[in-house]
Amino acid sequence: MKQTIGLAMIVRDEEENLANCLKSVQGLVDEIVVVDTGSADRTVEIARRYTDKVFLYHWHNDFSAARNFAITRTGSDWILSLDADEQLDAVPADLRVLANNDSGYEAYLLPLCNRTPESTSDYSRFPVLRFFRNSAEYRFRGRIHEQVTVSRPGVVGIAERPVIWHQSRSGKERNRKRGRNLTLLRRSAAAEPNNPFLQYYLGVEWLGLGKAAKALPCLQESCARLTDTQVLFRAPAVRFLVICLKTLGKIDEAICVCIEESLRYPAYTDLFFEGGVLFEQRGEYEIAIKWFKEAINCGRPPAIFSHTNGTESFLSLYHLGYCHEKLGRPKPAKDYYEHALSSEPGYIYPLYGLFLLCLAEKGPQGAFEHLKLAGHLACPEQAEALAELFFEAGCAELACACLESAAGLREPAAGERSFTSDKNMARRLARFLVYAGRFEEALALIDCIRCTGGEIDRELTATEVVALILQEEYKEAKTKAFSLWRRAEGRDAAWALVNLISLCRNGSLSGRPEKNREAAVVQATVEILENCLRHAPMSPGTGISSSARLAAKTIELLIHLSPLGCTALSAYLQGKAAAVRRMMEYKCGPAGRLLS
Amino acid sequence: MDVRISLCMIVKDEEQNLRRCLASVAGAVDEMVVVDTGSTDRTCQIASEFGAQVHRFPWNDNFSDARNASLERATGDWILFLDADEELAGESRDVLRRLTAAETVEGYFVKIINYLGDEGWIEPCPDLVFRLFRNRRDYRFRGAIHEQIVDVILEKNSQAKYQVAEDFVILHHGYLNRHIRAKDKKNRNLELVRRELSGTPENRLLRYHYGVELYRAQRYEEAAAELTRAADGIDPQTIYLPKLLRYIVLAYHAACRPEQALETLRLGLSLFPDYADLYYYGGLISYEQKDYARAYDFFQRALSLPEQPAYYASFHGVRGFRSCYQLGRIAELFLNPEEALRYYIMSLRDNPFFVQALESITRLLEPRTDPAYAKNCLAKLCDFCTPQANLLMGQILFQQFAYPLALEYLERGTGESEPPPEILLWKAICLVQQRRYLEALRILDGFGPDNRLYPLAKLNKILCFWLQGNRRKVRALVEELFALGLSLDTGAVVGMLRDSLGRRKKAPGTTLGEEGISLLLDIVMRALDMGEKDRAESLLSGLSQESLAKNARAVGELFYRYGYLESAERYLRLHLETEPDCAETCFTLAEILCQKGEFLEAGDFYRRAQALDPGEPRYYIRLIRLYEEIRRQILREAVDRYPEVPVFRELLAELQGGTC
Repeated sequence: MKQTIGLAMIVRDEEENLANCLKSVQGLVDEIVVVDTGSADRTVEIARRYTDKVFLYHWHNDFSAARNFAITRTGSDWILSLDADEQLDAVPADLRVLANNDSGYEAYLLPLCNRTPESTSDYSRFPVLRFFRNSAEYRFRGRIHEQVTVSRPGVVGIAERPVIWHQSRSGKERNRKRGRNLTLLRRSAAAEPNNPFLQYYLGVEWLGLGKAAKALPCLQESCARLTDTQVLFRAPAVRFLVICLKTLGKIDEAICVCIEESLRYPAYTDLFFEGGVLFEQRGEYEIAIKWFKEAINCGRPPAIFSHTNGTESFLSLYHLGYCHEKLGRPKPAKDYYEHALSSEPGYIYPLYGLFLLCLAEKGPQGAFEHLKLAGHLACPEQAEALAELFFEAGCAELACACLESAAGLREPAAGERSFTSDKNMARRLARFLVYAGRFEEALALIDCIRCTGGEIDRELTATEVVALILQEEYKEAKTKAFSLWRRAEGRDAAWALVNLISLCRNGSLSGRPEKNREAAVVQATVEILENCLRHAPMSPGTGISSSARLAAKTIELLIHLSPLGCTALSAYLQGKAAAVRRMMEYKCGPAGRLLS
Repeated sequence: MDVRISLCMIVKDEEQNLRRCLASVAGAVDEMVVVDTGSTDRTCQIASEFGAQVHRFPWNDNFSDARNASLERATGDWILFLDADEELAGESRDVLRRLTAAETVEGYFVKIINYLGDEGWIEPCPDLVFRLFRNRRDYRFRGAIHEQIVDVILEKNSQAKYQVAEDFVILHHGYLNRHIRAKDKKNRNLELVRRELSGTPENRLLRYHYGVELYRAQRYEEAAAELTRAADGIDPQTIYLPKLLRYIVLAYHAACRPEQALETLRLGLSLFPDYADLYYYGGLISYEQKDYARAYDFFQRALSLPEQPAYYASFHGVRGFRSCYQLGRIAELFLNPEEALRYYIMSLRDNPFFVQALESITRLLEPRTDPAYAKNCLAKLCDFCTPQANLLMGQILFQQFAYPLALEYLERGTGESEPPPEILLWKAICLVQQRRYLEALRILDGFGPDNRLYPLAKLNKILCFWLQGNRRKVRALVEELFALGLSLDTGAVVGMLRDSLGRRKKAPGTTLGEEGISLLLDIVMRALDMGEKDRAESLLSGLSQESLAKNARAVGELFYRYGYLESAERYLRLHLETEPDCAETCFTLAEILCQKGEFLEAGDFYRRAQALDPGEPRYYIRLIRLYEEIRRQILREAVDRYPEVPVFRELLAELQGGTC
């Protein structure tokens, strides 16, 4: 007989999220029950669009009571429990298969994935009990971080699908919720001081608020008290304990925990990863390498363990590359970085190490060819990151080549039109083109951005003026520079540019900027100098290149400007020399001692 | 009961060596068994003089048969096996009794010191060999050429224990004349081993020998393959494993497969982390790959290692002068002459015959621009008490174009006696370069037509007059030289010399081959050395556009070396037109622009050179110094412009004190 499935949820002020959540389950469940605990916004209205079973419930500081109320309003055989900021990633069969199982399972742990806000490919996975038979046995308990209690563990299955995706909240909102949770948790913990779950949640909340010292005793307590039958909680508790110790600088203790617990849970990938990170932090790269390798050997841990995606692959691979790099073994380092990038092209960090290693070994052109051949330019994110890196390394030409290759990929009809869809990339390319000496293309591209309604920001306008100066079209350069002057935020750059124009035209200077503007003008001028020196002369001209000439003029301007200009210039050149020296030392390792 | 020792050996035509060998063991052994395989000289008589039993054994292309024939006749408890070109080191005579008194040992690996003489000095190269073992009926040699007995003893007596006795030393003189070893003999050996190996493909030791023979025959790819196969699955205790690994490295290196060489090397170091030779070769390979960081590391480690065990057969100097010399080269690449000098001097101290080190030291002393200082330093460093030492120094200085100083040493080296013609010619050239034409001509006139250097002497006579602008004399001498019959290229250059003094420009320029260009550049260099820039330019103007463009870089570098920046820049830019991707040209151009004060453009060229050849440390270092120089200029200007701001003076002082 076919089993029916009902979604039961409690909400409050969730107008932002609720629709997405409900959309994600449409067609997958037979009934939707939404219990509102006192929204002041349009939450109820939105809920009504998806179901007529919307109930109001008077909030009295008890999550479990509210959730259980929702369950009692659901008539289906199985309950799916979600929060409004979650979405279900499932095909229709996923839940059905679980509900109609003949293995005697009465409840399931579903993977709950948390995206970390900074990155798209990084996420943590926790198993949570969210799908269970609608029977009086299965009810929520606990005021906060309520959980469904199951008295007979044998009836709980672990499912790989469907996956619940949790929307990460903004930091502010998260902290607001944390504050509220803490109050409730402390009240509960006072009543039940020996409850390891409460200690666990308390620790997590403290850690989330950045108070590791407060979190530590709670996490230690919960790790000590939780048993292996509660591994669902114990596993994340151990990981949070390690993180907490690491935050407090207690690296040795953290390592001890990793060693002890990895003996207890030899299949728990994340522990090996954390251990590797700890040894890496201590500079013991050889040992760290062993831990990361073990993490990879483990593979994806059993679903019961809370798990950060990638510790079994790209994260460990990245760290393996890093450790080898630190040990002065560029070849395996490169291989691991490549491997990390190919197992997760969206995780971009390995690219930086890879870029530096290639640059040190093969020089810019060689690095470009190598990276292109290895397919990194075929991935738009990587191509853009590489473009910035090449530009930073003083190779504007190669920066252009990276972006052009990425653009060609995005829209097969190459040429300027391809950038109409991505204005940021177009702006970036325009800047690179100027310093690559391809002025006309740069100006055409800027016109194109303008025509298609893209914003010409301060930086792009300044770039345009520089391009015009380099082409010796001073009149138009001046017009544009004045237009920049009219924008409050562009005034410093405009001042520098106008003076550069007149210096280039007739060698005269039009006075000094006001005192309060001086530092900013100096800054803007140094930036122009910096960009001019990014031009790598790939085709040797007969005379001095136009950007070198402009660089000479910026130097002249800075010296004339003020003592501050001289100081900035001196510091800039010192930094330049230091950067080459660093690169040299990076390349040479101990032989760098020969650098007198 | 006393232990008796038999010396066994096989000989053929060894009258030169045998006496030394037998004298070294006389009295130390109880009997001498010499098997002669067909001597036609006094070998057998000499053996008899020493009281040896001499047996004749017809040679059958099999070393083992002959050796076993000697074992058959031995009656002692122990066998000491020697070759005629070997001898026992004095102190080993006593050691011998102690070793043979040991009751549980069946045989000894003893130390052999091979003397090599390939590079102008004699160097000892130690190794281990199995030459002392108990005399038993079933211990017999096996194998047609690389006769083995170690395996045989183990087969017959699995309990047999071997020991290494490094205090028992055999001296081997045979390799001193290695270079006369006939090539066909090498190939014959190779063929013999190959045939034997095909019968016993499992014989690892034989495969190792086969690989070594292939390596000697310069068949490197095959050598690497065979040696790798010999090492595959080998017991890490195997006594010849270190040597085997080194040969694999060398074979891969010679076969232009540096990656495999380095991989083998890493494997080798994991087994023998104190094996200096592996570090040394690792250094050489990394240097060739322009991985100077790693090369530096390898050589440093080679230097830091203690004395090598004999079975490593370590190459002489890898822990000393050779690695020092390489470190000096690396220091030069890092534009650090002080450090380079320090390493070269260390190298020379370790081996005073190592001429390369002396050459490098001389070069770094810049004897051309500062002869007095160079002379002073060299006198402190070396003892020039023999004529040979002075001549050597003179030759080195001559090759480095430091003519006045070279002349001094050459004269001190020749003294009263008549020097060989080369040295006379060098002296004449040194005189020419100092405009002492009359003295030069006196020497050059001394070369008769039967002297093989006669044409060169004639050419230098032409140069004497060419440098003085004497057209008539040049023309006459050129005709005489032509009459001798010159190669096409040489003739063309001589013609250019003559025509460069003419008033009219010849319309089509001369196109020269490699030989002609090298002669022409030599003359241009000598003209520049004398400050005759215009003469050099007028000679070059006779060159066709095509030839000039092709050699513009070499020409430009010459002008740069002698400080003619404008001309140098012109030629180097010309070179970039045809070869825009020449990093060295970009670099020299940058150096020139830097000297001319055109810093930003110089920076462009340094960065371009860097982009073209990222492995070259000089490009980075010069760029760093360029930024420092620009900064210094700016600070100077700031000091002038804003005298009231003290910070610029401070920064400037800091910069002056801190760098370069």
